[in-house]
Amino acid sequence: MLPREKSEGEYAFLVKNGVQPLRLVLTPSRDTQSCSGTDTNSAIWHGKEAVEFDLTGSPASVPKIDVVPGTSQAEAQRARVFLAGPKGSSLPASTIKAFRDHCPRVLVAAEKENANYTVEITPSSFTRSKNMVIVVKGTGDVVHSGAALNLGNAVKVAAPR
Amino acid sequence: MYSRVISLAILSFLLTAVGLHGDKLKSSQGIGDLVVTLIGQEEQEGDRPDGDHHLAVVRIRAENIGKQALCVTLNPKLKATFGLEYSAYSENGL
Repeated sequence: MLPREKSEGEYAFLVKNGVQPLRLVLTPSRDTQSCSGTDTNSAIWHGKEAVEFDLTGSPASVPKIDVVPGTSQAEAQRARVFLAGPKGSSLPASTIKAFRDHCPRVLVAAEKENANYTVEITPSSFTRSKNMVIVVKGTGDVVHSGAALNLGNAVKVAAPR
Repeated sequence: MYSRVISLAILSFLLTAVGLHGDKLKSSQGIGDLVVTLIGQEEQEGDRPDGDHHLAVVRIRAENIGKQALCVTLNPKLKATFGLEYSAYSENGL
């Protein structure tokens, strides 16, 4: 990670029903943050062994995004999108991340049946210079198709409004 | 005189302890030059992988506030009620 670089992501935990999350504990896998190879001068030792986040606190300290799909009015108004790769294959994590970064108001559905839209993205490759995007509404109508050099731009134009 | 010094020492120790505990609960915390911020959590009860479990998703942001490149891997654990502790089922974007 370069200086001033930010990265967002999420951890998913498979929790038994009836069990409430209390804390998230993040433990660095190494004692140093230095990068291997030529970056040895950037060695920075951790002052802590781990960081802990309280997940039970007030709404101000723990921003809840959505609780139960279908019960929140705000969520009900959000488009649910199923992301698919070419010919139904799964997409790399970078594509999903780009979608979440550029389209925060859109929910990414894990199953096609729960989605209002299906977005098929064919990432650029050696043989294809542009990222191809097709957006299909739940009824089966193609509502958008296009191509963009940048994956982020491809995702932006694909996002249902 | 000695009792006052001892009292002050105890008081400062207690204040430090409270401060450290409070720091643990902040939504932004640092490890070296890496600042990790808790930006949300979500319980996806509608997307249950099976009938007995559901997904608890915790979203974070990591930022390098230093002047050097960082290479960090974080191992996530979720502590839950009944003394349960979970490893990540999946990670996305980190």
